[in-house]
Amino acid sequence: MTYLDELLSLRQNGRGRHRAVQHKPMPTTTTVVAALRTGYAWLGRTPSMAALGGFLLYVLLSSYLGELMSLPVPGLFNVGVLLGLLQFVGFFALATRGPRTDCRGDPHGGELGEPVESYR
Amino acid sequence: MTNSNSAQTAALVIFSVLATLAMLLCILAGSEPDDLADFYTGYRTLTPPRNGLAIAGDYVSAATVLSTSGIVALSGYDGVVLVLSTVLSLLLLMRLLAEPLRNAGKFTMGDVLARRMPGRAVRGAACAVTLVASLPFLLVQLSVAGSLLTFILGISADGAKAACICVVGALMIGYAAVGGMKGTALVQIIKMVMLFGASLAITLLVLSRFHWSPTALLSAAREGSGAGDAYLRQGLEFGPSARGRLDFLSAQISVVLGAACLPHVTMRVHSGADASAVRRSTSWAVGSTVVIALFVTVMGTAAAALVGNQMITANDPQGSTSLMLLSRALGADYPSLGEAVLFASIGGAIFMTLLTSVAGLTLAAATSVAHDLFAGTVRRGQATERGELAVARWTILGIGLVAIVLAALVRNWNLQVLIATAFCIGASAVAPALVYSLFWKGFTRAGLLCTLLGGTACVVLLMTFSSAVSGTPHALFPTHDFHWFPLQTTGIVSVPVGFLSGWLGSRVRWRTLVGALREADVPSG
Repeated sequence: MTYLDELLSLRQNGRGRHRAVQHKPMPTTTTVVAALRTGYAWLGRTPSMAALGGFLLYVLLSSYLGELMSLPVPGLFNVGVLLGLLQFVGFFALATRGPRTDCRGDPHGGELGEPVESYR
Repeated sequence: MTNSNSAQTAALVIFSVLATLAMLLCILAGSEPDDLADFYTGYRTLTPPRNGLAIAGDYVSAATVLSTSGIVALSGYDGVVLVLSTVLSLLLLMRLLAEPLRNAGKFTMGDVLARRMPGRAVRGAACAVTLVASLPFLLVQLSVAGSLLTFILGISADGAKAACICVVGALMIGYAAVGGMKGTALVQIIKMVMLFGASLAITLLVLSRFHWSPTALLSAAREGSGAGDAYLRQGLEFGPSARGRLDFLSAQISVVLGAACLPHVTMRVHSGADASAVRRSTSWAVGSTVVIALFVTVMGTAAAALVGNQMITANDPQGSTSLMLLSRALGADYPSLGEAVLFASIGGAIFMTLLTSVAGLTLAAATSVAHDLFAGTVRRGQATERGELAVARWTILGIGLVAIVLAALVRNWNLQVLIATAFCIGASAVAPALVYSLFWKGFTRAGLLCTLLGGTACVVLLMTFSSAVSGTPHALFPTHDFHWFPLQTTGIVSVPVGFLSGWLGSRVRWRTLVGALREADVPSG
């Protein structure tokens, strides 16, 4: 049973109302909102945590695998310098792109909107 | 090597004009004597780009720009990693904490923490941690201001440094007390634009001098640093030993988690108008910080290439004058006028950076004293707005005077350890407290107090007996040796201690524990 079904089962009549009896805990809009909130929080946090993880990996590699980081790279001396520059680019991209708040194509966001649309 | 007279005169004129202009702005943007929200947040009227630049301005302090460029110039690779960790710190704060912080808080860190756990103890602890983190940082900034101004103006007398500290300190008290949050924000924006312009000009000049080839710049830096291939590898700052590697790791952890959690940065988040405005201003803040950080990296490398290790360390062992030396070396290509203009423009940008960083820090510390300690703890929330604002302004004066006197007294000490202390407190006490109270439902008041006090106590204890305070030639007390903690920053130990004490403090059932202790005590007593 998807969130859409849960939402539809709240309606007095129409598709899915009979399913309300099958489903024990009464589903509410708050379930969807909670799922949305978790989803957005996850969406916002994942890239930042990835940046932190990547940076810590870079620090560990630099300090304990110095040979790997000093392998030559044409034009930029070594792997370490190249990875450092790439992180600058990555941080800038993360900063300017920012978390998206577009709910088209978002499964939970779509479920919230759909029942309302179908009434029209 | 002394500065030419024309460059010094130009610098002095520019400094006076800038200081007056900033003061005028603060007076124009100043608030009414009984308007608390205006003083603390400027009514959240700043647009997202401006608010973002103000956050970045507060974050990119004078000590950050000068000491980081010095470390890049002297240690190369290690310095670049430090620049990256500084940027990442702001990125994490802005992406993970800014929105919840803005929604949870009103003016200060105490507001954020006391929202879920109201009480005088929480507000008192928040204020104490704010002061312990801000005052050392303020001292460093004032001390840097003194040495840099004497260097730019070319005065070498011992009393001159103290006089420069007093002048900068007096200006700082004026800006913070008159302008409040909005006035200092406007000055921060001007400073960011000036810093951006001056460093862009120097970066372009450097790159054109090396025919736009990073390889040429890096080879020249490798030669100039005198370290050879080690300049482009980790290990120059703390040494290649196992302890040096651990120190490097510890320093990066402290900076990543602590630099952006300092109260004067988190306080700026509260002046965003709403959640979406905060989101947009964070993009501006981090974006501009990344650009400035990239410029600082290029300028530091160019200082190693064009000025050379020997000249930099002869002027300042930590390399904090390397930017000024670089601008002079570049200006030598364009005799008299070009030299003066370059020197004065980077000097002006750094002067504004110095003024705004000290004003922002004083404002954050004084706001916390007035709002958390006076209104929240002493008066238990019963203070009038006019009374609280008066206390805030008098506290700015008090904190400013204390900082000026202390900075003037210790002007010849190596205060780098105080920056590390501030970052470590940010990482070990403030960061765990904010993360737990914003994201963990099981966090309790006892846990919060354990995090704030335990984390801070751990940092202060370990830092006092670290090798950055005594026992090494570059330590705070080079002639004494009472160290037993082998590292220079405490992050690798104190961050886990801070997080763990918050978790333990929340898990332990204090009432049962106290009851059991009393019961055990009754029969014996």
